[in-house]
Amino acid sequence: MSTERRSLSEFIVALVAELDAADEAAARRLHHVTRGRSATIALDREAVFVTFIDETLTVTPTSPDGPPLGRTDSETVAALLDGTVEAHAAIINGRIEAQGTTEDVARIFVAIEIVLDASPRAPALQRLADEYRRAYARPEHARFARTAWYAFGPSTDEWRLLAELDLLP
Amino acid sequence: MILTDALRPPWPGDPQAFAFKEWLHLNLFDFESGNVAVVNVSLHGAPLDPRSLAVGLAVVHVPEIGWVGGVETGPRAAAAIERAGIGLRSVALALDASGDVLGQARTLDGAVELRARAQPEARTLDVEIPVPFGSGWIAWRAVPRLHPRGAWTVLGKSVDEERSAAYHDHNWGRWRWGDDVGWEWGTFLTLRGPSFVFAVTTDRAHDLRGPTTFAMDLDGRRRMWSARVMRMEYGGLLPQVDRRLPGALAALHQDRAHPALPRTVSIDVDDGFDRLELLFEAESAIQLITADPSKRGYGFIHELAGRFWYRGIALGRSLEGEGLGIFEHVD
Repeated sequence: MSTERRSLSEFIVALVAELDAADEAAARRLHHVTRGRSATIALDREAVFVTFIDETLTVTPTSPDGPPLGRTDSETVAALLDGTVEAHAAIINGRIEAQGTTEDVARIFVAIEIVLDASPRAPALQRLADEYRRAYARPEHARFARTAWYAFGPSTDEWRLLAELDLLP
Repeated sequence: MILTDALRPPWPGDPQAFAFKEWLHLNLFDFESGNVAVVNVSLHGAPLDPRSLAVGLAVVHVPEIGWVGGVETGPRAAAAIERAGIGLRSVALALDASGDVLGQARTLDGAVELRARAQPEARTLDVEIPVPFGSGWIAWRAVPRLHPRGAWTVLGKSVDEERSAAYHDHNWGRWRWGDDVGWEWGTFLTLRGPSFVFAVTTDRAHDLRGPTTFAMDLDGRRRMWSARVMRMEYGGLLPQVDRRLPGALAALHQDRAHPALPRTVSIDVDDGFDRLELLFEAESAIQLITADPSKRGYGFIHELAGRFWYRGIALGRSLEGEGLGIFEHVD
C-alpha cells in the first residue's frame, strides 16, 4: 500500500471504481443519478471538476476559488465518518455548503447516500473510508452546535414570499 | 458437550446457511491501568457466498483517553479460517487443543499490539442449546476467567501479565442483523477473586427477555442463579457514545449516534442461600455497527467499559471487592 495520501480526485475515482466492482446495482443507480451532469466539489483548498458522460467518470483538478456546487473541509468529513455529527448539523452549522438548483443539490446528496448505503456490503469502500480517516486525522473533531433550525436568518425574498402567502404571524 | 472447542460452520445443504454467524471473542483486563480490551473475529453469511464477510476488531478502552484501536472488514474468502481460528490482517483469534485462546493484533492506528496466549482458569460455561433468536437461533460457550501471558501493548505501554486477566466466549447461530433481536451481556472480573458473567437475549426494544445466565466463579467453584432469584436494573444515562465503528456505517446511521445507554447496571441476587449485590458503573461506550452481508439489516453493539463493586455471601463465603467490567447492550 502506498504511504502517500491520495488527493481528492484520487479518492473520488477510487470510490466510484470500488462501487462499480462491489455492487453493480448501486453503481447503476449512481450512474443513473449523475449521468450527463457535472459539478465542482471543494475540500479544504482542493477542488475538482467531476463529470459523468456516457457512464465514464472524469475528475479534473480545478481552482478552489470558483463557485463550487459543494464545499466542505476534512475535519467535517472526518466527523461524519466517525458518526459523531449528523449531516443536517454540518449543513446548518455552515460546514457543508451546497449551491445550485434544487435538483443538482438533491442529486449530489443522493449520490453520497448511494455510496454510503453500499458500504456495509463493500469492504473496499470501508477501507477507503478508514484510509481517508487516517490520512486526514485531526487531534480534535470539528465542533458543531446542535441547532434545531437554521442558524442564519431568512432573506428579504423569503419574507416577501411568506407575506404573499399570508403565512406571517 | 465437546471437550475441545472448534468453529461450527454450517453443514453442506443447511437451508439457513445464508444466516450463518459465528465469532470468537476475548476481553482483556489490565488492573494496573484500568484498560479493558475487546478483541473479536467474526464471520457473517454462508461460507460459499462471495458476499459473506469477515470482521476483526481490536479496541481498548483507556481511562481518561477513550477508545483506541480499530476494526477491519473484508470478504470472508480473504480471511484465514482454520478448524478453530479466524485470522484477518490486523487481528486473529484461535483456540488450541489444550483450550488456550491465542490472540494476535496490530491495529492500523498503531495503538494496540497483542501477542498473547490465555490459559483457562475456570471451567467452561456451556450454553450450547440453541436459544431462539430473531429469525433463527444463537448458542454460545464461555470461559469466565483466563490468565493471559505474552505481550500486550496499548499506546506504547506494556501490560504486566501478572496484573491482568481475560474472558473468552464463542458464539454461533443463524439470524440476520436487523432482526428484532438484542442482548445484554456483561463480564466482571477481579484480579484474584471472583469473576461474574451475565447474559440474556432480548428483542430489539429490550422488553421480551429470553433465558438469563448469571454465574459466579471463584477458586474453581461455580454458582449460577436463575432470573427468578435476581433483579437487574439500569440507572442513569451515559451522556454519549465516545466512538462509532466502522466509520462508513456510522455515517450511514447518523440517527443512531445518540443511543440511550445505562450509566449503571445493578444485579441483586437472593435465593435464600446466597445474597449478592453487584454494581457496574460505565465510564465510556463504543458503538459497533454490524451489517448483514446479503441484504440491508444492521445491529448496534454497544460496549460499555467501567468498574464494578460487589458484596454479599455466596458459596458459603462473605465476599466484598471491586474490579473491571464490560457490559454489552445490543439492539
